[in-house]
Amino acid sequence: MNEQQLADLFAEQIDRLLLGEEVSVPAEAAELNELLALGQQLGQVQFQANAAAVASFEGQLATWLKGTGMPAAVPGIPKTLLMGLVAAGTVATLLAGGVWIARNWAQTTPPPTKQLTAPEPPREPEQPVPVIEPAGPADVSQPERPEVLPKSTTSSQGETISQPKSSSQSDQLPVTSPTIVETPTLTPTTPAAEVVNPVTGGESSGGDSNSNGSTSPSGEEPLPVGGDDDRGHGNDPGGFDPDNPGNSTGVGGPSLDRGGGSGSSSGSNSSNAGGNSGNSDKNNNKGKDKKGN
Amino acid sequence: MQPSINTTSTPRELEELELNFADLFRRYHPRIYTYLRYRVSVAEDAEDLVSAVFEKAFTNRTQFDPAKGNFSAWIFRIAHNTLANFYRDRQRRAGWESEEPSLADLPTPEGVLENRVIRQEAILQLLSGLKQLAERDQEVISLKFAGHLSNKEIGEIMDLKEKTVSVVLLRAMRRLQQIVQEGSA
Repeated sequence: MNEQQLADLFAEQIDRLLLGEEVSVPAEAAELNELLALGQQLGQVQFQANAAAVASFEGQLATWLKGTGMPAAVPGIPKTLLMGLVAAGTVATLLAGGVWIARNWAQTTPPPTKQLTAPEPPREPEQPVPVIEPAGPADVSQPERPEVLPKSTTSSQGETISQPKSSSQSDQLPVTSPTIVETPTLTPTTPAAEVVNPVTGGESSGGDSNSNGSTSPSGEEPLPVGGDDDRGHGNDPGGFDPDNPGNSTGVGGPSLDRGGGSGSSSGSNSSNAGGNSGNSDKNNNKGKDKKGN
Repeated sequence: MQPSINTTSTPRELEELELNFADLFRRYHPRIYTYLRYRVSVAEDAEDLVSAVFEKAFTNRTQFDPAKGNFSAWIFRIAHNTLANFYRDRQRRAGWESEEPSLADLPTPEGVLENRVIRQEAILQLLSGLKQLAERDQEVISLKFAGHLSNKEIGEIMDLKEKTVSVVLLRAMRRLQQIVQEGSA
C-alpha cells in the first residue's frame, strides 16, 4: 500500500470517525490505528465561546436582519462601485459646504479699514466752524454724524471758548469766530491725522482743532475743557494762523500756539497738529500733545 | 437548503435568504470558533476573529454561489483568509507564538475531577504540538478536526487537490503523533 492509498484510506476513516461511525483498518494499514486515535482526541476538542461573545454575535445578527447595522449589499452593483459613489458624494458635499461657508464668511466680514486699526478714531473732521447763534437750537444729532463739529473754538484774541459736549450748553456760546476757515471735509473712514496738507507737508488739515482744550506746555493759559476752534496751526504757512493770528510763527518758527495743544516749542515741529482733538497726534507729535481729553 | 442570491431576487426572496443566512451563521458559529481556537491561543482573539468572519460573510453574502461550492467551504474560506490576515499582523508584532494556550473556554467534561484534569492536559499537549507543525499542516488538521470538513472542502479552501489534502493530512498527523510522543517521554 503506497502513501497515497494509505492517505485516502486514512481520510475515509477519519470522516467516518468524525461522523461517529465505526472505523475498520486493514492489517496492512495498522499504523493508521494510532493516528485515528489521535484524530479522535482532536475531534473531541470542541471549544465554546463564552456567553457574552454568543450574545454579542446574536445581537450582531439581529442588527443585520433589521438592516440598521451595516448596509446590505445591493445585488447587481459591485461593492467597489457602491463605495466609490458614496465616497464621491461625501467629498462633493464637503467641498460644496466649504465653498458655501467661505462665501458667506467673505460676505459677512467687512474689509478692514484704517479706522479699525487706528488707535483713536477721528473726532474732528473738517467742517466749517459753525456760526452759532445764541438762540439757536442745539444740534443734538451732531455726535452721531460722521463729521463731528469742533468742540472748542478760540477767538481771535486767543480766548478759548469751550464748546461743551452737551447740547444744552453748546447753544449758549456767546462768541463766534470772526473768521471761518473752511477746511476740507474728511470722509468718515479716513483718519483725520492721516490727511496731509500738501503745502505744509505734515500739518494736519483736518481734525487738528484743539478740540478739547489742550493747553500749551507752558500752561500759561489753562484751557477749559471742551476745546476751542483753534486749528492748532502753530506752523501755518506764511506765518499766519487765522485762528490764532497773534501766536503763529509760521513753519519753521517756534510755535507759540496757545491753543494748539501741541505747544510745540521746537521750531522743527512741522506738524503741529493742534492736538488732534487732544487725543491723537499722529504727525510726529505724539507724546507732546496728550493734554487734551 | 443553501441560500443563493442573484440579481433577480425579489425583496421578499432576499429577506428569506437573509433569514437563511442568519440560521446558517448560528449553525456554523461553534465550528468556526473551534477552528479559530485551534489556531490561536487566546480565546478573546478567537472571539474577535469570529466576529470579523461573520461580518465579512454577511457583507459579501451576495457573492456566495452554491454552484461553485457549498456554504461550509465558503464560510471556512473566509475564516481561513481572516486568520491569515491575523497571522500577518501578529507576525509583524512578533512574539505571539510564545503565548501560553488557555483552555478556559473548553467545556468541562463530566466525570471524576482527576480524569478531567488528565483530559485537559492531553488536549493542551495536542494543541501545543499542533503549534509546532508547519502552517499548512496546522491548517489542514484544524479544518479537518475542528471544522469537520471533507478533504474536498479543505482543498477548495486551501487551493489544493483533494488527493493532496489526504497526503498532507496523513503526514501532518504522523508529525503530530511524533511530537506528542516526544513530549510525553
